[in-house]
Amino acid sequence: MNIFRFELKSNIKSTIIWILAMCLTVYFFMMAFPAYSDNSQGIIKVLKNYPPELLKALGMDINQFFSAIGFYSFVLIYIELLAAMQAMMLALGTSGRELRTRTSEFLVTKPISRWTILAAKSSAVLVILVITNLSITLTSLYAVSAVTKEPFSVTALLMVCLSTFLLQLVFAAMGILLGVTFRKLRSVAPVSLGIVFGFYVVNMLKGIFDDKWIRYFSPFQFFEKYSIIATKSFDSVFLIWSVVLIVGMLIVGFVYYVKKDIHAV
Amino acid sequence: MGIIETKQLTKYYGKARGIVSVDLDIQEGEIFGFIGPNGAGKSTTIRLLLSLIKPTSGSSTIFGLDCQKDYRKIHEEIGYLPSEVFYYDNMKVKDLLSYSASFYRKDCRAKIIELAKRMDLDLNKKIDDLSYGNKKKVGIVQGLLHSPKLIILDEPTGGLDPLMQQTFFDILKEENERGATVLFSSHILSEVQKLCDRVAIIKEGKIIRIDTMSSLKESLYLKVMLETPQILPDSFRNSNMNNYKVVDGQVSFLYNGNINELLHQLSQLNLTRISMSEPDLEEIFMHYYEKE
Repeated sequence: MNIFRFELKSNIKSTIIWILAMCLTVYFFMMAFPAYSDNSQGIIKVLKNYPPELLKALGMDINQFFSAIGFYSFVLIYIELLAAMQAMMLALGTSGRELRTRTSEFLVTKPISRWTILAAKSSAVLVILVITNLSITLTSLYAVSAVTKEPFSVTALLMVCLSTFLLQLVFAAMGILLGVTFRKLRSVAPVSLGIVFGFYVVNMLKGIFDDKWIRYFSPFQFFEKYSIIATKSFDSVFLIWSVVLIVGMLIVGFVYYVKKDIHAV
Repeated sequence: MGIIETKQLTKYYGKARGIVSVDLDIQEGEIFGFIGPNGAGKSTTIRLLLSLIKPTSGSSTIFGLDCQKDYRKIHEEIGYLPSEVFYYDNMKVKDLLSYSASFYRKDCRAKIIELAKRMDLDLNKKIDDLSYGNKKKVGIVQGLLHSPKLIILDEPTGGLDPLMQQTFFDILKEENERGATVLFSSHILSEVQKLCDRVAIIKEGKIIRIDTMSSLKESLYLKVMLETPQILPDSFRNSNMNNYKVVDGQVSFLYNGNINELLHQLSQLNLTRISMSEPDLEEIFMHYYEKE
């Protein structure tokens, strides 16, 4: 429990900043929706002249774009990037805290099992991500309903938000795994951002080349927001695949951490 | 039963040697010294005992419990001070110490305050702002705050000034009188000499000798230095004489054997000067390291 509290406390400042950044982004983007909506006919004409590959890479779907929830899912593409960064930095920073600050010996020589140490850290990460997603979801609900008088599916919106949470869990599991397997960790941000941007580039490539297998290696493509809104369901293959990835990376991370040699610094 | 027992404890890092077949038996209430130069395997042994690393083969127990399986229980009663101390960013000394204390089912507050006072450590400072020596003090308090039954110190004195070192040794002796067993690793022999009851000498991953401090120093060795105008016959030198050196007609060696035989031998010589003294640990130690 003390490690859990310690990790919450250590992450509280950055969590508040991330939540504010993401909620404000959602809010201000959504405030721009009425203007788009009013000029929609003109914009549709302009956009129809764009090459379809470009629109796809940008994540724009003309037909859905001009409903509030369609516009919201476009905004969410950028929120997802931020969310993935947050999850990665949080998880890597938490599971790799001792590695980075060279305090492994301090923690591991305490009367607590290594399994419990990592479980406490993972729980702290999970709690922070739940709080983050609740904040984003509530902000989104408020912002979407504030800018449109037309009825929209709350279920669809909640599901899109849930997909962001799942995306965060994928990156968090990856961060925990990396944090325990790295031999050295100088600073968390460059590594995290590098990895997240790497996957983001993979995501953009998928939009352009349309290769199906790339999707399995591109967490940003696991949950297609437009299809979630249209069908109000997740792609079951990728839902299972993401759960397999999360659980798999955590199992490997835990087993590795329990068995590994803690080397002198 | 010994507090620490290791049997054929062996660790290889890939192909690199850590330690080979180390057998230790440290009894309750001892201050046990562990000496050897850098890279001999002192830290490897300690890290195995603390379950920081896993052995390649062999076994070790502390308080009769398996070091690898029951480490959680063992750690309740162990205080560990590494040679280099590192702490989390942006923490005050007292926050770090109470975080450390929160892992033990004891109220450690009084002990923290007492130790900090004796070590002259300001609890309200940020750890990042502390000097190397003061960080070391945080480490000492951190290692002792739960009054452990076994204190493991890995080259602990670096960074402490001589006065503080003395205070630290006094504290260790008091902890020992309270009943704590101490394992003290060092490459500085005078420290070990000051503090320890028994020592193990480790060389290239192997224990080459375990003995009490007094028998290491007294019973076995005599430092002999003599001057003679005559050229000593080859028959003079025998296997009881170690570190045998001849410099400018001055002969010196460490003798371990029957003293009467030596005196008989010496009485046959024409000597101009002679001195015999008890060697310090350093010389015995060098002898072990020069032998091969």
